Amino acid sequence: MQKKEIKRKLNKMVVNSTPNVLDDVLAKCESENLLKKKEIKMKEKQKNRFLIPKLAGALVVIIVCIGGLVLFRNQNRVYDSIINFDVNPSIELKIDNDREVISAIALNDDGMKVLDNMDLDDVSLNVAVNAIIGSMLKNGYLTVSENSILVSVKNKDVDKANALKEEISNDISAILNASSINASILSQAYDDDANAQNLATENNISEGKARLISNIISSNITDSKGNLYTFDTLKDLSINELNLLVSSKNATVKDTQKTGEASSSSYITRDSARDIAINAAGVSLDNIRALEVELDADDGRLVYEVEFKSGDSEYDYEIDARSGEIIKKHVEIDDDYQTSSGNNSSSNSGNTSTNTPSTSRPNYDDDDDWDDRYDDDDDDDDWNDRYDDDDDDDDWDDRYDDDDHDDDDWDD
Amino acid sequence: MYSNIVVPYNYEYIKLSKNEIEDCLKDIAFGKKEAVKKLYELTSSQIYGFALSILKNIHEAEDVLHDVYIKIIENAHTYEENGKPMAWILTITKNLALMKLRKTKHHVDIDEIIEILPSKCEGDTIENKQLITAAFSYITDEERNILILHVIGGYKNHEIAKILDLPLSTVLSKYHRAIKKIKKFMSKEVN
Repeated sequence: MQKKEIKRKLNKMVVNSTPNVLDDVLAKCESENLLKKKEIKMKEKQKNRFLIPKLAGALVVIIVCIGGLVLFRNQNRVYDSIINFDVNPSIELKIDNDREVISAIALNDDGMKVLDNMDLDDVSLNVAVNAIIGSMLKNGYLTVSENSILVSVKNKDVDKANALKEEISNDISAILNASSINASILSQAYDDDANAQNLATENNISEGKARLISNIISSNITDSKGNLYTFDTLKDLSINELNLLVSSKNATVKDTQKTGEASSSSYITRDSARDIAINAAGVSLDNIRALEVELDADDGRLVYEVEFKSGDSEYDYEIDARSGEIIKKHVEIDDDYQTSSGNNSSSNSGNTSTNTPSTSRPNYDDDDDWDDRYDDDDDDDDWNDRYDDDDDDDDWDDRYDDDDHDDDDWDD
Repeated sequence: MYSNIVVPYNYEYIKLSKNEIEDCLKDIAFGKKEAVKKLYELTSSQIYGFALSILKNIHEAEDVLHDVYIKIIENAHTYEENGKPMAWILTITKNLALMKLRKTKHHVDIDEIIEILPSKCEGDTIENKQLITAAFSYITDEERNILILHVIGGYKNHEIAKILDLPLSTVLSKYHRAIKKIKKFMSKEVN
């Protein structure tokens, strides 16, 4: 008998066996004069003000109260899909053909915090996604300024993987939207990727993230020196950082679907980076030429490479894109600088210098649209509703209820 | 008459009826008899089902059903409108049922439940009997209370957690477990 049928039948039996005591109730009201007008203490509706703490409380409960992080119990069950969630926390879900969770594993320390004490064993996929995303929100891994998440679905059947990927992405997007976060979701679906699998094992990161990084490199996305990125340079970046880096180069990653835009609100703007470098060099904006500001990655963090020339010097700064701190500085003599045309430093008109025609490149400083995606929405308090609605769905769309795996842990 | 009203088993109905239930409570506080009838129509099977789940005794559940309405009528004016009238009503039900449970006279009578309930639904009576047996004697009391709240009102897990005063996680896992156990019980009985 299917779950739906069990519920329907039980409901019907209860409804049809409910005795009629209404007459007795009314008789008692009459005899004891219970039904009379009373002073009402009703309050105005206070829907949303209490919704947040209550439902947030419910979320805390799910995170705190259940035991077990890695679920070894059902290793005998055959998994159908493997799903990786990467933000900075990385989590791997294995689900069976009934879309119920076989195991949920944290792949890094942040992932452990997210899964802390959560028991997702046998929980249906959409409930698990809700719990994981909810926990990432609660723990501050997904915020308005860190809004990127990578969803990777691996299934032998690519169509199935794709469908699942779509569904999960939509779910996540809705959850985050309801939490006033315009998420940027990167997603990939694939059947097998031996290369990513090796890289993941070697570098101790998720297969999904390894695959994304490989794809970034093979999409010919280059660093500020024009070289291809190495795996090592990128592997310690969070998904939001990878996402930002790729967007800053106006590139797209192959085999990866992207919705929304990475938030850059935790980072300084290109203009700020430029100003920091120029101030440090002790020159003024009017006296520089050949300015280039490019977002780059170094040593597991995002940096701005700021290059410019002023006078007879060529400057090269590396600035931490988050803190604005100068990490590296390099100054050398500009070989191309021609004193004949530059002896009077007051002019940059009529400059005959051959390869520095662009004292003011037309667009370098108004191209700030990529860091203006921070969207501070008004309150929308109902993301928790979403969570609950999914609990409902779970009850109904469970078409694959045939319980053909032996679940011998009931009576523990 | 009202006992034969079949509450449509879908969630939309329950969501829509929430406001109606609040309106009923308001009207009852104003002393309107019609509102009692309406409220009874909307909620009696939920109250009865929940009480039956806790008490496992048809007669005691019936008593509680009666007492709950008296309590509602006496206290409707204290209900604070918050969009969750059923949580309030089911909490009253739980409290009254638990009071009954603690009384020394209380006794569980599952045989009678198995005798009466299965005939209230169409389909194979033997199968229905197995279902009721599974629900009332195979799964645990807590599992049944959770399942029944799902079944009678389509409540969400967090609402059930609140009504039963349990962690949400427990509700989630016990609900799934209850369904699985019933499925397993029934497939065993069939074979």
